[in-house]
Amino acid sequence: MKRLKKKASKEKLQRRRLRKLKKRKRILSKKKNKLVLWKQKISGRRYRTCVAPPNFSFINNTENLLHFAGKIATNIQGNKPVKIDLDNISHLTPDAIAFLCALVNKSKRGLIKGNAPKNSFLQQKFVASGFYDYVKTFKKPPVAKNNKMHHNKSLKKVDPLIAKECTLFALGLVKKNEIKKALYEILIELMANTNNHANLSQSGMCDWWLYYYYDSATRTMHFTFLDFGVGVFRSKKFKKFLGMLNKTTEEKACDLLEGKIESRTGLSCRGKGFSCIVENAGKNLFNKFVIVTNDALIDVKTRNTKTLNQEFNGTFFYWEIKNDDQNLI
Amino acid sequence: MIKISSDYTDSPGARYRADGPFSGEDFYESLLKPKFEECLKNKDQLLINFDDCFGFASSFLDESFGRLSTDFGMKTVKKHLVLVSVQDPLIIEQVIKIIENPRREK
Repeated sequence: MKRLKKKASKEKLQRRRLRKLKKRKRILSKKKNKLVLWKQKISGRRYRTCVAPPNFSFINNTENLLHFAGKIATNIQGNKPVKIDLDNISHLTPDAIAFLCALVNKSKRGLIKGNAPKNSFLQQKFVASGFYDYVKTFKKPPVAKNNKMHHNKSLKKVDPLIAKECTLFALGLVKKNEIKKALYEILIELMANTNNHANLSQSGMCDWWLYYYYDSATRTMHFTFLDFGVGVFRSKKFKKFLGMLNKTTEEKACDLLEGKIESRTGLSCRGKGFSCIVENAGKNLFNKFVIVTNDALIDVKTRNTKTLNQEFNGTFFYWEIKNDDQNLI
Repeated sequence: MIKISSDYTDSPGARYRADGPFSGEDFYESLLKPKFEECLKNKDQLLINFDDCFGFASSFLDESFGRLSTDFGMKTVKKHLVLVSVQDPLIIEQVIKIIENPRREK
C-alpha cells in the first residue's frame, strides 16, 4: 500500500515537472518567435537610401549636410530604416565624420545602415577614423594614430582627462606651447556648456562628441566638438529669449561673440564660459574657428555670420591649428 | 602653500562635483578652504601656485576663489592670499578680479 502511494506521488511529481517544463518552453518559444518576427520585419523592410552630398564637409557645405541629416531624421521618426550611401563622395573632411558618427548614434538602433566611400583615399580616411568603434560592424578596423574619436555619454560629463589627452596629442604634433592653455580651457568650457546648458530641463542629459585629426600633408590639426542639444540661442533664459526673437541672426551672433548673452541660470558669476571660448578662439594660435548653432554659422576669426535656411538643433564647434615650423616633418 | 598641479591636479575640471572630477567645488572644500582657515588661525598668508597646470576653466576659478571671497570677505582673502604664476601671469589678474567681484545670487 505504501509502495503504491509512493509510486503515485512520484508520478504526480513527474507530471508536475513536465507541465512546468512545457510551460517554460512555450514562454521561450513565444519570445523567440517575437525576436524572429522582429528581425524579419527589419530585414524585410525597404531601406530608404539617403545619398550623401559629394562634398561631405559640415563647415564648407553646411546647408546640404543639414538637409541630408534632416532626410535621415524624417525617415527614422517614421520608423523607416535608412541606408546612408557614402559611395560617391568626392570630398571628406574630419568634421563631417564626427557629425555623421554623432548623427548615427543619436538615432534608433537597427534603423540605420551604411557604407564607406568608394574612393580609396577617402575610404582609408573614413575607416581609420574610429567611426566603426561606435557602430555595429562585422569587424572593427584599427584606428589610425593620427586621429581619435571621443564620445562622452551624460554620466561622465566634463572629463578633464580627455581634455588633457587631446592637448598632449596636439602638443606632440604641432609643437606650440602656447596652445596648451588655450586648447585645454576651450575643451573644458565646451564640455561644461554641453553638460549644463544643452538640455533645457536638466543638466547632464546631453552627450557630446570630440574628434581630432592630424593631416600630415597640410600639417594641420582639425578639432570638432558637437552636441545635439537645444543650441546656444535657445539656451538663454526664456524671458530674455522672447526679447531675442526680434533680433536677426547676425545680431544674436554679435551679442554672443561680445559676451552679452548671460547665463541661463541668472547668476552673475556664470555665463563667462562662452566669453572664455571666444577669447581663446580669437588668438593667433588658431587658423580657423567656426561655430554652427541653431540658424547661424559664425566664423569667429572674421566675425562673419551666415544665416542658415535649415536649422541645426545643437552646437557644433570646429577649429584648426596649423604647424608652421618648416623644420618639423 | 598650495601648488595646484602637485597638491591637487594638473588638469582642473569645471564648477561642481556633479559636473565631473577635479571640480572647483571639490578643490575649495577639500583643499583651499581648510588651508585658508589654517592660515587665518596662524595669522599667516597662503601661497597659491598656478604653474604646471594645463589650464583653468572660468567656472573652476569662480567656484573656488569666488566662493572663498564670499565666505571670508574680499579684504580678508586679499590680505591672506598670495598668488603666484610664472608661466601665465594673466591668471593672477583673473583670480583677483573674481575675488574682488564674488558671486551675487539673483
